[in-house]
Amino acid sequence: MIKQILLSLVLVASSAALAADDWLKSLPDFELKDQNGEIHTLDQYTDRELLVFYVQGVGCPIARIALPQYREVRDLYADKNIEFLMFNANIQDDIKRINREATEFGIDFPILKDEGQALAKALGVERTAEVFIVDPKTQEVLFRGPINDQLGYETQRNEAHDEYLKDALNTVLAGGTVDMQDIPDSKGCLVAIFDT
Amino acid sequence: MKFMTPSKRTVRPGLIFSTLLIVLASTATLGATERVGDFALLDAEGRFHQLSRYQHRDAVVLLAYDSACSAASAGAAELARLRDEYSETIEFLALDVTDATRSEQLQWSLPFPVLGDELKLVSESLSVSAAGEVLVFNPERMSLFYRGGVEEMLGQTLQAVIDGDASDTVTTDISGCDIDYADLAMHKQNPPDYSTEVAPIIVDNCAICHHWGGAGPFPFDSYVSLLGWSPMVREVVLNKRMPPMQVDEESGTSANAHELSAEEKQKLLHWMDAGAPRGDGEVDPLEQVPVDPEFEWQLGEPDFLVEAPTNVIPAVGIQDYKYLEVELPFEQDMWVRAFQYSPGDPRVLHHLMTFIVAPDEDFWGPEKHEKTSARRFLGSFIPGSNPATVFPENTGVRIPAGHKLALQFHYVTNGLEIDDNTRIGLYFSDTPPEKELMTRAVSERFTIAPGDTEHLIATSFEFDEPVQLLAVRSRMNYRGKHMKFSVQEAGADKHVVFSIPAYNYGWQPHYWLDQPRKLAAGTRVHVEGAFDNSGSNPFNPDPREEVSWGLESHDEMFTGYLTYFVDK
Repeated sequence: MIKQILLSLVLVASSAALAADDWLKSLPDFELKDQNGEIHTLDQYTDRELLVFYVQGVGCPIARIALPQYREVRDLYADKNIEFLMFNANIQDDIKRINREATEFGIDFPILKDEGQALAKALGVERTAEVFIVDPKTQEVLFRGPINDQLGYETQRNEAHDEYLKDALNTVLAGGTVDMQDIPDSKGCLVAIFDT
Repeated sequence: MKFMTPSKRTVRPGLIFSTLLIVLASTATLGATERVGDFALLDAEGRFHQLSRYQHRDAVVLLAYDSACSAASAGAAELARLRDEYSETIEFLALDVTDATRSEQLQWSLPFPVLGDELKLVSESLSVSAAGEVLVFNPERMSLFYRGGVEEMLGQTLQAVIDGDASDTVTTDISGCDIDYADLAMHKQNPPDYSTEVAPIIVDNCAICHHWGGAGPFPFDSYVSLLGWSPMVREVVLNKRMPPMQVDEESGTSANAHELSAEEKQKLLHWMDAGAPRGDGEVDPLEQVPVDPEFEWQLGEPDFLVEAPTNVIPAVGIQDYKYLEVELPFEQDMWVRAFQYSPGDPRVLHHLMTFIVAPDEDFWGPEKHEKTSARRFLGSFIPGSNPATVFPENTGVRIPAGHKLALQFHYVTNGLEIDDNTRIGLYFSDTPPEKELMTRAVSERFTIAPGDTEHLIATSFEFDEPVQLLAVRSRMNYRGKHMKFSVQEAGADKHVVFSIPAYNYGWQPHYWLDQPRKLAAGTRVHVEGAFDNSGSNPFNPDPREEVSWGLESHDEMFTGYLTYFVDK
């Protein structure tokens, strides 16, 4: 079955020029199952002021290490009307593996399994541990990038100098627009995206 | 020429450039920003260059070079002129697209480093279409300012970069010479076979750690796992992050260094380029990789077992080295012929070094006070390397009566709080061996200025007896960049015997030389290298700090270790 689905491999980090799409895209409608089998749809979150998504991946060191930072942001905005979610678009991660990772690493967020990668493709996902802020009513992406500047490949800092996600949430909650030119590319594991 | 965007940074796809397009229509086109993957290559002198480590530069100019191509030669001459103008903030490099040898590359006498690109894998990945083509990279955004020929527009683009006006990728026509991409064309028609050609490379080189229960954070356990990780595999192969502990094999080789051959890399990359087909093989070799085997003492029950107390490792954060001393009960000298580490949890134990020290010494022994000293080094543990070491025949490491073991643990956090219980099994010779293995620490003292990208250090030690040099190890902290070891007999030229062109503090193996070196009395061993205290060094905790020699994790050190025996 896998063979039929995976017609061609699109390597996101290759030098092929990207189409001149917007870097900040739109969130599509979705109906996805999480690691515990619960269904999540966009409709059930439209009463939220903001939705935040975290690109999760099983076995990705940065996606694992960034978890406490994502949790800290969620706890900081607990009194705001914001939903913090994760999704996993990796073809190598089925629900069973995601569940196992969530148990082992204590991931207390719903991890939506993006079967078919429709969510990842619509958002233009490249790497795990990237976060997206979305307005669930307009479905517009208002920010994408790293949570902060603490993590790198095989390295981390004990202190963050820049809190990209917190700053972006504050900006958006105050009615402002995030200047994406100030946001560096996210670091994490490349997500293989496939044409179907 | 004026670009529209106010920021120095590359703008993402989606901004509007209609005005500019009209202005430039006759000479160049501007589309979306072309983004590129990271890559790393060694130049003709064995130095390491990685695109993402040029973030202290405004741009990196790369010329695809073929010495037989007049367009490329003319381009090199023009680039030399541009370099005179812009070298303060822009880096200039040439990329060999002809698979020339290093001595050939050196004979070209280009005024900038020539990067060797065996089998043209980086040239392919950058879609370089001809010798004479120039790419101008934005190393901060991993994108292109420019792709095209060496012409007026190139100089204008560089000026725009300097002025902070460059944005999307400028492309111009290229009139250069063809590059031979026959392998790529052949593999597109006839991709490497997954079961017989591709998967075995992963099994032999990656699954050693990347199996269930292994030291790697995820397993390669099926075709689909490799497919899903394939963009990541491509990235880490092209930027030399994996396999770890690579060295400059043209200087000297070691079984402790890991490297894929160019042919292996080509098979992996071309298989991915071809869509990563599963092929017809019935058995998936990755599904046959066993889960982590039960630990066993490879050499039988140890003669003496050292059990380190539990180290508790938190889930996240940078960990300072942990030190531990273990008293030994021996009332006479003991000779270690072999030892094996039994790591408590190889997912977090990233290295463990063990010295034998006198009762009044700690881990650093005389290194605390002396720039050079003879030490008794047992060995190191590194994930992915055999935890057992058997010393060469008729040699051994002596534990003088009353001495103790001093251990240094380097842990990396992996998202879980972990208790690590590491053990060491020692195996003794019944009678003293002919040769005592010693390890000479050769170090230097220094202070590195903030932001310095290449703080050079050179030190050396002269052996006054004939010795056999068996192994070397490089020791720096986060700012360590590269280190090489050269030997020089009295009155002769020095030549490099081992080189670590991209030092990584996380991977510090003791490299046993494939070819031990006999050194005559009076031979001087040179240890030369550099630190990178800039923001381009991803491991640098703070490029704004001045840092000096010291033994703490936040200090820096520069020590070459030479394991040898006196060979009379």
